[in-house]
Amino acid sequence: MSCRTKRKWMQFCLEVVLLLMTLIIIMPLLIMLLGSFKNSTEVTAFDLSLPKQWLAENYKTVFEDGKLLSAFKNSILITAVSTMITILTSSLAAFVLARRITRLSKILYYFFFLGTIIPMQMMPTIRLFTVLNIYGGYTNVIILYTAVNIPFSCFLYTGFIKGIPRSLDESAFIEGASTLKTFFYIIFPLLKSCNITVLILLFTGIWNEINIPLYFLNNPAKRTLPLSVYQFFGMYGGSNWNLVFADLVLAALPVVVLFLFMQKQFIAGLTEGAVKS
Amino acid sequence: MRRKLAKIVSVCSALMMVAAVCPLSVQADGQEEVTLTVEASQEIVNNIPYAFSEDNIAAFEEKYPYINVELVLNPDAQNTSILQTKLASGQPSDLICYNKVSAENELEVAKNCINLSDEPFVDNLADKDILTAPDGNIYGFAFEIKTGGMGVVYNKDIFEEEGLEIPKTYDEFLAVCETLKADGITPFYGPFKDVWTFQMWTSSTWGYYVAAEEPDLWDRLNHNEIGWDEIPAFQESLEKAYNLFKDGYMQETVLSDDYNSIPTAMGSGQYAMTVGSNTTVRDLLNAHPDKKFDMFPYPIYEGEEEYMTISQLDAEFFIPNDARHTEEAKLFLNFMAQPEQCDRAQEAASFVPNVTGAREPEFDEFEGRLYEEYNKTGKTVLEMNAYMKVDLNDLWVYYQDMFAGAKTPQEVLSAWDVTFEELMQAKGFDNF
Amino acid sequence: MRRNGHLYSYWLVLPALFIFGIFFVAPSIYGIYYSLTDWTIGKDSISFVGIQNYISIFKNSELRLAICNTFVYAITVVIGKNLNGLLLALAVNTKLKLRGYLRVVFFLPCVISTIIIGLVFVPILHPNGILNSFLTAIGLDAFRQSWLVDRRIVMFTIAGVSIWQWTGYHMVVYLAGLQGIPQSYYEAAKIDGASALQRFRNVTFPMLAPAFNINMLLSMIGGLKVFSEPYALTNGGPGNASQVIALEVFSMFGRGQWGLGTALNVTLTLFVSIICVPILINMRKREVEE
Repeated sequence: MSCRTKRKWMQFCLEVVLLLMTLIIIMPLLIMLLGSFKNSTEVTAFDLSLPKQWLAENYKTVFEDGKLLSAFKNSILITAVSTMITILTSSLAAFVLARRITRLSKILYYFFFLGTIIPMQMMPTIRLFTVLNIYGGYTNVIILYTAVNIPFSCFLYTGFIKGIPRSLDESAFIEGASTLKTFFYIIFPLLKSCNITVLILLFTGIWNEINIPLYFLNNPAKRTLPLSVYQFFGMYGGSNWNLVFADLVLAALPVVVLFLFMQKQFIAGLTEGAVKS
Repeated sequence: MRRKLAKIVSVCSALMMVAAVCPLSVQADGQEEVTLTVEASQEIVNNIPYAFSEDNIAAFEEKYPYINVELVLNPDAQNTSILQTKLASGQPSDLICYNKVSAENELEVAKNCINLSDEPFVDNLADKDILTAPDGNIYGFAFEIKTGGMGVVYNKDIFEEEGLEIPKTYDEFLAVCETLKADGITPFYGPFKDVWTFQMWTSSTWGYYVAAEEPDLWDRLNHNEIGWDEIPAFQESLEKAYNLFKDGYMQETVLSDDYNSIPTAMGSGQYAMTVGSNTTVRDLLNAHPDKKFDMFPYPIYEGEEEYMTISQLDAEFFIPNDARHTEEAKLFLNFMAQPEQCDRAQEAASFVPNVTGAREPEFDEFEGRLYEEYNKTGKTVLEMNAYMKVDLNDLWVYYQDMFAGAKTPQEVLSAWDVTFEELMQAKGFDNF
Repeated sequence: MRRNGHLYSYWLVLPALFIFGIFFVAPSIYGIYYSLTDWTIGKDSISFVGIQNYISIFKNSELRLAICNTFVYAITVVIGKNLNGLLLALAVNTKLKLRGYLRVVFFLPCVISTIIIGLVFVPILHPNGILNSFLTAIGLDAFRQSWLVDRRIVMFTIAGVSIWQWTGYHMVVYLAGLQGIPQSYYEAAKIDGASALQRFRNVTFPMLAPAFNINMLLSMIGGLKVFSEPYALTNGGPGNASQVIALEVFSMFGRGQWGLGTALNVTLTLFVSIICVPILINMRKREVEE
């Protein structure tokens, strides 16, 4: 066998092995997806068999009983606003942290990084929001998500901006552009793939988080979508796994769709940014 | 100049954030309509359906069109934590639904909730005493007067097919198990993945033992005059349960199966008995209308007579001091505590109402028998949980340790003795 | 240089610093004070008790188990995620026809909530579930386990689910590292007659150091702060067998033991800092050297 065919053969084997490995990833998700179309007895097998009858009305039941529309709106609102504010504030901060080489900027960098290390202190935070009189509404949840997510976004942005040659902003300065103009017109457009990476990480992270809404929202009308998963599991777990699965699919769908749409830039952004920091 | 601009932008972006966020929270509050929030755990809503009758809520909303009732359901595992956090931070829901004695201990209703002793509904009550807290005040309203019994839930069809009698002693119980096992039926189904399921066994049996043999035992435990590991009868009950598991009378997967799986498992005919309450039996009868299920008291100790253990009063509604709509919440309770509403709630599930003039329940065969045989004749004892002043979750976790093989029954009680002391100490009780 | 200082004004850091400082750092610092008090739900006044809470943490055998479990879990996931992630990255980095599909599929679980993943895995890992049935079907009866019940393996099962979910993420970071290695290095090594293994050891591995560092750091932080995975899969059970620090903190809040809960949270912070800050400093140093 020639070297070349041997190589091709190996490549083929690798491809098959990897393909089999993706089954490990896909199968549990498939059990969920197929289960969501089954009837309540069929689903308890928790296997990969196809539903005898595809029951799309499971989704209708879940959507109506679970009041998912308002939960969906709340999730979108909270996630979108927190993500936007986080991206804006942390990219601005990262611009300075990446460009300045002083003791202070170094200290600030570590200070921000601390945020990825320390766990949130629930009770003092609740106290703080109560004193400020914003506990219980969307506001405190959005502020909290922003505060929690600034550190890691800052970390990613700093690494990424460092990879952009300083000469670019210097030439802009020489032409008389202000710092902000330079940032928004020169740097920010160059951050496109990083922005997408941060966007996806923040969006999925905030979308999927349930502890903060559980403790910091005091009105059921403000409930988020993943929280409804719990509601549903409590109501139907055991007796109606098909409905639970349908609810899980609906809760996961928005982020999965977002990811599939942006996956190319996302993986590109992650590969460029993460390592450089 | 540039610096100044940067300053302005940073301030602006901060302002923008505030602007982006503020109107949203105002929007919800600025309406004239009142959203009355009722908070409870999912378990309580499932188990006590008459307290949350949709028809009653609709009738209330019709009578007071400006009030909109919203249920806040918490996951069971976090319910206590969430309620306590909200009470402590001054942001509770308008009404909280919780079991009476647990609320007195865990939510400290005497401190955190409004004293309702002078509300109109109190005059309608058929039995004021059962709603009265230890300090003599009434802090809430519950629909029901007697509460559900707890015991061994069993599949009557299997017992009839095998020609088995209801066991009255532990030896008879073992004989029943042996017969069933020999015929390929797993005698006892243990749904112990949920921590709160096995405790029905101990709360019932220990409650029975104390009532029958040492009536002052709960007092002595609560005053630290005796340790939990110094009571042989408690250990005996734990050992008997553990031996059922060890000797193969329970399924091997007791720690993988949860309470929700009971209807499927007990309906399959593979299992003959399980732990539970009258709610469990009702759920089983609803899930399998063609089969017969019933309940008998735990035959663990040799007693003179058969007593059914009853649980503490469940699903009482309280109004926290810091609730935003206390007046509307009072309207809600006064509305519910009327014969008309009680009668309507009977549609959701039968119960003995605690409101004068309300209709007597139409029990089905099973619940009617329980009521006649035990409740009416006073052949009931109160479960252990009704006497406890601290959160028992740790003890329940130790039970799981026992089934997982990490603790012996003796060690469960010793470990609980230490934890119990810490919890009582934290609550500031004397002698601890 | 002085001029640059003016241009990159620290004012731009202020919005982020403000939100992060007030709403995250301040409560944490306040938490240190609370951790030295007997703050509990029933008490009307809070009194200072010194390090009493910390002493009771280390005296309590259940909390010691939770701490031990946390470390076992963290080490398992750090090894599992990095090893799998690296191997996958090496495989996916070759010129495969399916590489686009493979990358997307391996990354997919990362965007799904751990709570959802947990709810799906509970029935799969049931002793009579599909995993054990599968093992029987392929003749590996001996490997059947009570995955989430046997207290000797439950932590590893939970770690396994987390590895299942997050390997794709670490794969992508390694992939980034691999793609950052100039092809000329490999060619030079080839000309020198280095074998494939030698090329990996002398070119790939050192050049992957930044990716390795960040992956170590992220998986370690995630491992020590773990909450959602055991919460969704076992809720600490059976008994206390899969308790971890963050879950204990959570249940202490539930019981109203707020002083003790914050003390345990501060302890967790210390653990994470002691392990992760050196990795971080090492990373920055390397970067400056370059």
